[in-house]
Amino acid sequence: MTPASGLAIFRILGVPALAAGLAGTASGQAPPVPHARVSLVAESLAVTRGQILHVALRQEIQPGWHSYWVNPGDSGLATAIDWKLPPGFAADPIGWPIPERFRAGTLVNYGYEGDVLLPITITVPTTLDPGSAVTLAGHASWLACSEICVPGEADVTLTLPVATGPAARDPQWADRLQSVRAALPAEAQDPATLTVGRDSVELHLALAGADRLRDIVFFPVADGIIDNDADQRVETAPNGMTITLVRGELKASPLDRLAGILVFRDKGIEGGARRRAIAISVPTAP
Amino acid sequence: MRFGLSMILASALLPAPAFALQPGQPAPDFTLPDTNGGQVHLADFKDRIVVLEWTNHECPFVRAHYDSGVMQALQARAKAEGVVWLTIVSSAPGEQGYVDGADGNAVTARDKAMPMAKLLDPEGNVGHLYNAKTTPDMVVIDKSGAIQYLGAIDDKRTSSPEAAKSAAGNLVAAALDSVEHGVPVAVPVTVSYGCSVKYR
Repeated sequence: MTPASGLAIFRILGVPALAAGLAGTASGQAPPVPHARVSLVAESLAVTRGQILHVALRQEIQPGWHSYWVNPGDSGLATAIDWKLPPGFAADPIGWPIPERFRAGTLVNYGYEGDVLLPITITVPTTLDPGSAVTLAGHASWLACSEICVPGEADVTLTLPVATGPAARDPQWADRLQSVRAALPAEAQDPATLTVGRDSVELHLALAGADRLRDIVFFPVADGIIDNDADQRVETAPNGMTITLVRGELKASPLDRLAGILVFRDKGIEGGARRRAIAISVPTAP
Repeated sequence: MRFGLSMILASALLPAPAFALQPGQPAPDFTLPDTNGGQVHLADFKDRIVVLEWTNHECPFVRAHYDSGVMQALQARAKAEGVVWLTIVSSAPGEQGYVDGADGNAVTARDKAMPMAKLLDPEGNVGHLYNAKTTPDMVVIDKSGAIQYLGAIDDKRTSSPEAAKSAAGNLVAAALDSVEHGVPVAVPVTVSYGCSVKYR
């Protein structure tokens, strides 16, 4: 995309309908639109005492723009939510769906585009009055980028009645949110080893059927550990995979552990064209 | 053994990392025009501590550090202590943050910034020489001309002025403390964060 066409998108798509939560700058120009609209959605139509409630921060991101994963990569900033919950409620951290890779020159970023659900698990206290209502409130902040970046922030709320029994599913969101949760990277159960060299690290995962996997990519949870722009060298066999990663800016520092997600497609199973991921956190071999 | 690939072999097969600079190495010399029509040579500041700051005045992360006054406070400290502060603009013409001399001075005046000089790098040569990836991106050079710090302005990744102001660990301030006292910088390399540098 040329700089000129990037500016054109900024102008044409900077429509008032998307101006949910402005973040002005002091640059003396008109305040930019945040390029994403956010809201809170829930899997159920009510809360039940003592039962987990599944919600999501929904981001509807303007075409051509993206928001960021927990590790935004070489630039950018992860989406965040600062909760203001009623007494006894507690929110888990955001469950991060499998991100996309975005490339700008030699920089690589990890994030999302389109209509995104960021799932969050809410613990509901046992001491609510049936018939009352609760309001979950939070302040969401994010950075939306295309060629340039615009911060956005907005207050989001969701009010639900307290049910006496099991809460009914929200037909609008339950299926979609459930499938998003089901696709979150699961923790790898397979034995893994990490060999750390001066310029690269070698991760071996004893994963049965690894030779069926395609398009294997490692996404690091922390920045600076690997060079996001460097080629990842992958070898697979029926009993496991080895992935070699070039170390990043922090390569002069000791590396005790490598954490991240391995994303792949599994040609051997039904629905294998869909990307899947496992989460790994592997200590450096002694 | 299929997985017996040695680290040596693996390293040989992979391309060299782009970021070759490391603390302790000599800071690569450069000459760039400043916003007042002069030429600035890094080598002229031998025997002085030098801070390099990559900027893009339209980047939200840069704005956070100027709208909060954090960057100006650091520049004021540097000035008071005789530290050379060079602000570098590597945005290409037509890209966000690009300025000519007059615009660059206007931004400096508006932000009440106080670098010793603001340097124009529209070709991005010096940005690439230092592997500047984001704005802000910071470098601290000691009196011997050796790099002593590379990376982020602080340890709080934020585009919010309030958060920038409350960031406890300004890594450049800490690096200056150490370099001025002739002791090793405790955290000599961090990962800079912010907007991508808008290279050509």
